[in-house]
Amino acid sequence: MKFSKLLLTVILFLITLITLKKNSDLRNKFYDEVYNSSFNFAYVNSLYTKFLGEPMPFLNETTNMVFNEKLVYDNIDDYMDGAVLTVGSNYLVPVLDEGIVIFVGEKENYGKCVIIENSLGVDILYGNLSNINVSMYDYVKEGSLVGEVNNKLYMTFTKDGESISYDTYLK
Amino acid sequence: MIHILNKISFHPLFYLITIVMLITGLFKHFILFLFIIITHELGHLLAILIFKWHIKEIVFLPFGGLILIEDDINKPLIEEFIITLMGPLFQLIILYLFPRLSYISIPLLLFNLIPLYPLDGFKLINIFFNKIIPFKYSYLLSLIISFILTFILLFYFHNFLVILSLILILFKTYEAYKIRKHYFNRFLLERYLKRLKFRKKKVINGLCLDRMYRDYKHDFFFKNKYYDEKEILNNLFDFKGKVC
Repeated sequence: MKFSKLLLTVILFLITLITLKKNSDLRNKFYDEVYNSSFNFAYVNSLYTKFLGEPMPFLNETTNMVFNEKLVYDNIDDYMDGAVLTVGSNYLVPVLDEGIVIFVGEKENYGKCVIIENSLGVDILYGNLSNINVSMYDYVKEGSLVGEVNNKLYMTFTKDGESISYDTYLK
Repeated sequence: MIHILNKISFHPLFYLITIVMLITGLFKHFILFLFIIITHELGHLLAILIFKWHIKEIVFLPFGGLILIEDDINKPLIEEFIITLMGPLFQLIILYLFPRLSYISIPLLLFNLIPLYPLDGFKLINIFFNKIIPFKYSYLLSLIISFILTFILLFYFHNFLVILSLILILFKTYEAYKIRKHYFNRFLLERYLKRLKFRKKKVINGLCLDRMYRDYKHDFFFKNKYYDEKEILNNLFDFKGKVC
């Protein structure tokens, strides 16, 4: 029984590989789907929480670095595809909108940055961080700590690969 | 080792919570949850291997793991107590080694210690009742406590997964309640068929088998005469070729 299951898995895997090799149209579509689109976990999570309650009950949230602050800044300007916010030195950046962390690392022009995908499928980038307090695939609530930033915080808002104006999130 | 791995099975509801965790993006929480419950079960497993008990099945339920034991009911209470305690103990070690995981390991630990039927809390209160009241009533009392508590919790929580788990617990409790008479019969039959050695002895007035304790050898005092436990059980089980 176990052996036949294994065999079936191997056969299915090989069939997929062979069809992808033979059919270039399908291959392009497949790669496009796999590499460019992402499943919107945050949307499913918010929907699930709304109707069925927390997906992981009994979690002790108080230890989860929630400091419930709003994002405050002195000035806002355009920068690259998004905005640059002028904040104080060693400013602690809170999460603007809850979602799942889909990127942590360095990016050109943005320095150390974190990307959080929210429930509407908008990727919000927090750039120029000096300290990062979240890690990949963390599910972060609104107001929890992203990291620390010195004077300048870069933010971009992208949906389906196209950048959108920051007016809807920052006023 | 291989024969233990072959005994692992997954409850359908476990697959359900796996899917829920994956589509809501809680991969990390799910992996931590798995890590904690596996360590918990390893604690039980270690004690089981030391005492050489027999494992029937290891099931993964939506709220943790469960090791089903296929062994005598009359095994020493202290062994069962240590086996039960090893799980939470291993979880405490995790709590000590990884204090950052406390937000997930403390709730799991506390949930496990609630006296609901297949959880460790139930086993602990059952062992405690076994110590102070006769076997038959202790099992019944623990099951009733589990039943009532499940009902109370069912009204207290408004969460899909919690309610699903509690309904599962309710069914399991009911199943155990249904077979309680067979369970008690097995308890007597084991004492009849096997040469069990108990260190302590108890005298019971009358011939009531319901008043037998676990971990004790019994003498029955009836009409100014002492009867050995074996004689009474002989009367009960030995049909001497008679067919009723």
